[in-house]
Amino acid sequence: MSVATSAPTECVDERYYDPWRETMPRADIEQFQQARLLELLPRAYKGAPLIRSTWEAAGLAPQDIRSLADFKARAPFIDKDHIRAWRDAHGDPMGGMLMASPDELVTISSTSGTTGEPTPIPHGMYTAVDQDLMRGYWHMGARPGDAIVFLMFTYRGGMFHAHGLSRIGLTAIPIAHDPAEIPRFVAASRQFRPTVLMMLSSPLIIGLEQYFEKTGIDPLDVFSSYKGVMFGGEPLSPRFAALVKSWGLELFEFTTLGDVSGAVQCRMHDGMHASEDLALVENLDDDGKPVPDGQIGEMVVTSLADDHAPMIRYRTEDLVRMDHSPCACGRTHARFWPIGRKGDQILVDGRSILPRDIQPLVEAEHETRSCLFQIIRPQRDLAALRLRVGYEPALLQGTADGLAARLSERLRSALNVPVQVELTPCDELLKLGPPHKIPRVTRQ
Amino acid sequence: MSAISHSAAEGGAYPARPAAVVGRYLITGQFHFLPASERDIDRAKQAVGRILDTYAFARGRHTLVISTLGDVVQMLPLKLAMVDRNLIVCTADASPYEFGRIRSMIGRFDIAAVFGVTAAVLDGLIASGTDPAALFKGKVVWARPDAYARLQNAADIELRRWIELGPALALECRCGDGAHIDSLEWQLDRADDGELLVSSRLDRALSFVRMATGIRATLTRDLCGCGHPGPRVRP
Ligand SMILES: [Zn+2]
Repeated sequence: MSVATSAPTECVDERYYDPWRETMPRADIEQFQQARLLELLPRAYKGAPLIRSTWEAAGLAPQDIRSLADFKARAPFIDKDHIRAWRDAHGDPMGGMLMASPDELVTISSTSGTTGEPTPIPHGMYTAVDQDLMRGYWHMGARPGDAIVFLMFTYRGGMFHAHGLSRIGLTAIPIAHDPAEIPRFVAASRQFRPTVLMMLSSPLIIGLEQYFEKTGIDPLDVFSSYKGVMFGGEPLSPRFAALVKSWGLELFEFTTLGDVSGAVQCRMHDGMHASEDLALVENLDDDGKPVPDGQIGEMVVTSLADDHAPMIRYRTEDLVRMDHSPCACGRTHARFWPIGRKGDQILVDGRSILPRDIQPLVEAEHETRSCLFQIIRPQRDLAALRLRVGYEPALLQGTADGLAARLSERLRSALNVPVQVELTPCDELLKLGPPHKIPRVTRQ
Repeated sequence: MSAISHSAAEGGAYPARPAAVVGRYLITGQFHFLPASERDIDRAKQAVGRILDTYAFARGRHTLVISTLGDVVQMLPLKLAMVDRNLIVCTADASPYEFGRIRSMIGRFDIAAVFGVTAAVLDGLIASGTDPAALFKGKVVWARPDAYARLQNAADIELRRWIELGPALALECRCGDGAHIDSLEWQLDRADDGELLVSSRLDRALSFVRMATGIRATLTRDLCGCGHPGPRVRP
């Protein structure tokens, strides 16, 4: 039934979508980055008003930068507050970041807007994220002729991405990233037997668990054709990881480099791969000094493959550890481990706590297995950890007070800080945010 | 295997209808997969481009496309046609929870036209305290049938029909006098009870022969004011 194909010729390494790029020696990566930067900086300075104003304020012009080292030593930073301030002061929806002329724009997508007004992201038909995802799909095992289920939001520009896949012989089955679409996702999996799924999230895993419990459908059969599944949106919790594994799926965590590009795990599952030819990634301390590999710092990114609104030294507020040594998968680009968002961090009695510290503890109780919770954080320093936690009333094994006491004790003994738990039925809690997603940190 | 690819038994040449994407069509609300080839998408792009061209949207104007990813076979050709015309496509999901994004896009950009408005989107806007008639004022709005009925009395909106007849898309042009169907692509027949039957006329990734659409409507075959000769649908 399958078409006989000749064996790959020896010079083509079929493990990689883009072997030359993905396995470049470090010196070549840096040379490539330098060449791209030196091309980009004069154009960004000329075209993007916020970049020009930031560089002028720093007393710097593009011609002052002659090497990658110069850039890392001298280039000024921007962050989301700069972009917002520019937007408000100048009435410019692009926040002073648009380098291209409007003629060159194709589409405007936007950020999720879970915690505020969505930020518009102008771009062409395809982006660095599309290129990075292709490497990920290929690594997971997608090959021309295969189907890919693309469970996403349209506001992220997913339709052009789906179309782009067809140009390399993949058939995309785009479906809305919404638990209500699970029956279609299951039907598509059975009918088209896709090899890759982009992507699962906590809300979809919760939805699938309930769907399989309710229908008695066998997840092993539904998912038998998948060689890999991306997961993103927030850190993967231990219970969800085990659950999805029991469905026969191998998860590859996905995140973005401050929306400049994507990053996906490889089969080693030892860090996210940054594509350093698409984005320059630095790990810096609060003073802008480099943080050594293995230590926690803030990820700062510069677009190397964005002709429309490139970020130049953008402070992402994402806390990461990095490793620049080659990976066992054969790729040479840096890997990183996300720790959490700077803004999500709280200090209780001087102890740092992030949502990912709380996740495994909340989901360990049966009634709160959906892991819906919010940290109530009126300010960064708190005397006690205050949590609003969603529970499933149908799963309640005693009283709600008993559950609150059990959960508080579990959190207190693991985190070693005072804890206050406020229980709310999951359905009620979900009304606080967009469907099936709530902000992990809230002021009240 | 599935409808998305053919399989070859032995060496030789084979007819192939590989799908570029798999979307969906609906028959009386029931969901079915709709594979479409690159050529299907390209022809649909030409057809929707003819409707767009009955307007004179200037290059560089913004539009807002409200859809979900599952609408890919209907919406991708529209987006590609707009790219060809240098219209900048803003996107939002067709969901009651998208009121913030829809408001924000319309507030920030000079949106000339809005495509794909649904009743659920209107519900979300109203629940969030936004009057859709005020928000869409001065724009051309292509509304799906459930939303069309509700916007019909809004002054200052140039309201146009967006009707899906199973796999075939019918859109009103500038004349607003019935929704055009691409007659090169689809043949429409009317059953005795008035239900429209749709047949594909060309080689598609998935072909249709007198598929009952569940939609009762009248068909007009006279020449439209925009000059296009094909049939138009009036619910
Ligand atoms: Zn690796």
